[in-house]
Amino acid sequence: MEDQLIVDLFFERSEKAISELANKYGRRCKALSVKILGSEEDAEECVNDAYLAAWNNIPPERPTFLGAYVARITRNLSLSKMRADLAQKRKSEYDVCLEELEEVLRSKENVEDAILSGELKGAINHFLEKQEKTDRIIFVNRYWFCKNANEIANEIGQSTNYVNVRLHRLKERLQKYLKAEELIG
Amino acid sequence: MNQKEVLKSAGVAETFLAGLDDKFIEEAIRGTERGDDGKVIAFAKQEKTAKKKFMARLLKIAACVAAVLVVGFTSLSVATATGSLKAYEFLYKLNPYLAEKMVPVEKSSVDQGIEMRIAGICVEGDVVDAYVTLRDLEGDRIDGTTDLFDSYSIETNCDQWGGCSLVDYDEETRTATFLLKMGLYDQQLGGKKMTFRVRRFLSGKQEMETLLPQIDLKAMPMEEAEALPSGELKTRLGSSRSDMVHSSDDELVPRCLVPNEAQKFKIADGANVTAYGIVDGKLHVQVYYEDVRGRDDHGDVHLINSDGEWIIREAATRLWDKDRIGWYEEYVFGVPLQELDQYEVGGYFSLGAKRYEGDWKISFPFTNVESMEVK
Repeated sequence: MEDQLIVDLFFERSEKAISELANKYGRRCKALSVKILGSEEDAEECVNDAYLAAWNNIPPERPTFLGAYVARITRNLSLSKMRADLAQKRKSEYDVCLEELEEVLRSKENVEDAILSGELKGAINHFLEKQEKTDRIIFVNRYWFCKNANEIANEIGQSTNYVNVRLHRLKERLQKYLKAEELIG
Repeated sequence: MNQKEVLKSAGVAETFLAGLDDKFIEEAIRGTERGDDGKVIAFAKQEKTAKKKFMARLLKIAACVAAVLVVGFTSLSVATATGSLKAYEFLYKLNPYLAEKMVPVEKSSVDQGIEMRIAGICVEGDVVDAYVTLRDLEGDRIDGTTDLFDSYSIETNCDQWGGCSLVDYDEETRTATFLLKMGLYDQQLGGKKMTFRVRRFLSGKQEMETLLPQIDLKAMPMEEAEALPSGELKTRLGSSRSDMVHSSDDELVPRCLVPNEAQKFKIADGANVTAYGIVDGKLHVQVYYEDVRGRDDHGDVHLINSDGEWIIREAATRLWDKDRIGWYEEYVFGVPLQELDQYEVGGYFSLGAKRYEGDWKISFPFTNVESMEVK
């Protein structure tokens, strides 16, 4: 079903909206949540909470990109849960990919100022605007959806090596870009 | 590294990722969707066009070589070697990464004493980036708030998408620079002509972040304020129709405050708070923007907590005024009413711009850079 038809169902307060949303984006949201939490059960709970949040917020909100909208809610809920479960020591795929990105962003200077001024937040979009579509898809799937190279390779029908090489070059370009913008030292 | 350390160090990465625009998330979702045949839709399409893209790159390279021979510049390295250092420095200052790929283009169009210039273009596959500058040759009508106000057009003879945003303002030369981005849907740029045209722009906006201390949340009456469904309110305000941020259906949007003369106060030239109060258990603040259509008066209202953090509204509705020049915008906040006294009201506003008309136009074909035609 088209996204806007699903949104219309939310506006009509039809419970079918939830089932259609789950059919279309449920699997993807759960996979994202599992990456962050490392637990199927917790992920299931977060995804259900995300549906509830969507139900409570639409209307009045009318998301332009329904998939991105529910994925963002799921991600935020999963991160909140992860923070609440600090006692749990297991390292998830989320930690792994953040560490990877952290290596690019590591800096002795500037970065804190960049965070404070909010510049760093906008930098990701400016950087991605300059990348090819293929690279953008790989980058967002790796670092936002926390998928590993093998999964991305399977999903886009390319080899793992292809994805790894692309990611490696992307990280180099990102570092170069952030330095040029003086966001990292 | 333990989980706590991961979280601590992850602050930067999380902040970086938090700003990701929904359009890229959506693109990543679409990019891995599979069609009925089990193939990844986006990449299957890419496979089909790979050969075409290769040919387009060849054409582009050929065009560049031709341009070097005829005009004497094409790539930045060539530009530097042949004396276009100024163009290189300009582009490099704007974006070093993109500048490496830019072709300097020193073509301009002048009208009303304002010069529009395309400083450089970069063609990658089916996407074009172009830096466009506006400079006032006679006065100071260009400033750091200059806005093309959706009056620009990108004309090509094929389906395209595009956008344009202010990326730099140089105080010394009073030059505003815009980054124009344009792409074609599954088509190649080779042989295509692009015309970039601007018919008006806005300058001299007052942009401000300000507190609105007149709205004292510590003294906010908790009883319900006078409010009406927007459908009824628009009749009272004489509007021919309403435009809603979140819905086109009047039944589904929050009820709106009735403008209250006793509460009305001026934020700055171009905007007044016209009412505030509790409606259906939520704080509403209503602002009237005097000239949305002509001057692009706009803004947003937020709450500020004791740590200085902004609490963003949970909803907003808009209602045109009777002349459909300005509109009433109503902001709705979801914080519990018993906690309202812990917040202040603030806002960001962009008001009072001056509008300038003209006709600036630059055309250029992509396969023949040296023969750019200028109005």
